[in-house]
Amino acid sequence: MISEKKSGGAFAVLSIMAASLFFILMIISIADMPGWAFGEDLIEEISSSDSGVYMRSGMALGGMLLAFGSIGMVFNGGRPGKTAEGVLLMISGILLVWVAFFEHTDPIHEVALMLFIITFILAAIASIYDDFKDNRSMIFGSLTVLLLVVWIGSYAAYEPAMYQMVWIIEAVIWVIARGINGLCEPTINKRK
Amino acid sequence: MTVRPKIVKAGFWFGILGALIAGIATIMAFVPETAEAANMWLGALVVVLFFALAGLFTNDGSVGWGVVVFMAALATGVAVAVTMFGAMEIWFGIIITVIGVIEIVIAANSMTGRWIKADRLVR
Repeated sequence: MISEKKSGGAFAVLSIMAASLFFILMIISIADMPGWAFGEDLIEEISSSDSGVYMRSGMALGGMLLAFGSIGMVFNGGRPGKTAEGVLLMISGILLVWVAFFEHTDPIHEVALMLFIITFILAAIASIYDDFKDNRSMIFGSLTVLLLVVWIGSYAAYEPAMYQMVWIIEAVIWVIARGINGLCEPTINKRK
Repeated sequence: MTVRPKIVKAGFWFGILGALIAGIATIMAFVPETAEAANMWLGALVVVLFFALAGLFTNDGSVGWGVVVFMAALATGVAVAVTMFGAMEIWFGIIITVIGVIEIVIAANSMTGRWIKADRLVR
């Protein structure tokens, strides 16, 4: 007999907290830096300034929470897409902590940022596979497809200062959506 | 031939509506002074995607449920991206995006799924 245990919810809450905390601290950081203009100045200008301490704290805390929150996705009862998504999100969470800890002039910061973006996109693609497999949760899958297409479009349409912000907002929306998805479905199956 | 549920018919007509509005937006994106047509191709892409999406809600649609939902999300995403690129007026973009979101909801509806997986096959 296979019973479903809905114990993945706690991990999903961590994912929601990760994105929310990062976003709130980023907003505080922007508010603390009056000279910074939305869509005109790069986000690196905040992180390298004194106001950047909030944002870097947000990245570090968000990264840690994201990595812990991904554990619920890894142990899901034999779904390869979900496992891949969890592992990739865990790696991207750890890389986000690196991005926060190293100065933006440091090569490790650059490499960690690049790898973070790559693993994050691969996690999104893995989530699409999992959501559309067996028509599991297609509304959340649709949201991921939509965000990925908009992500590509914003790269073509805007200057770096603007598309950075679009990517960050999209990433926050996506992580919160994955957290809600995790709350909606049982993640750990136990065989009795 | 089976009778299509009302929600599937709505999906078809919303697809046609989205394509027609995108078509109007594409024509209006033409700049006569420079005869620049580069942006029009992006608008035409939205038109094609919405017409294709409408076709998936007919009895002759040949793809599975997941593909219909994926196509709805893709068409909506492309509409948003094309609007961000400035290839169509923002108000047209907003209307087409709303239609696209309605299409996603219709496509992901369980009644649409049941029709695609079972009823559509009965001839």
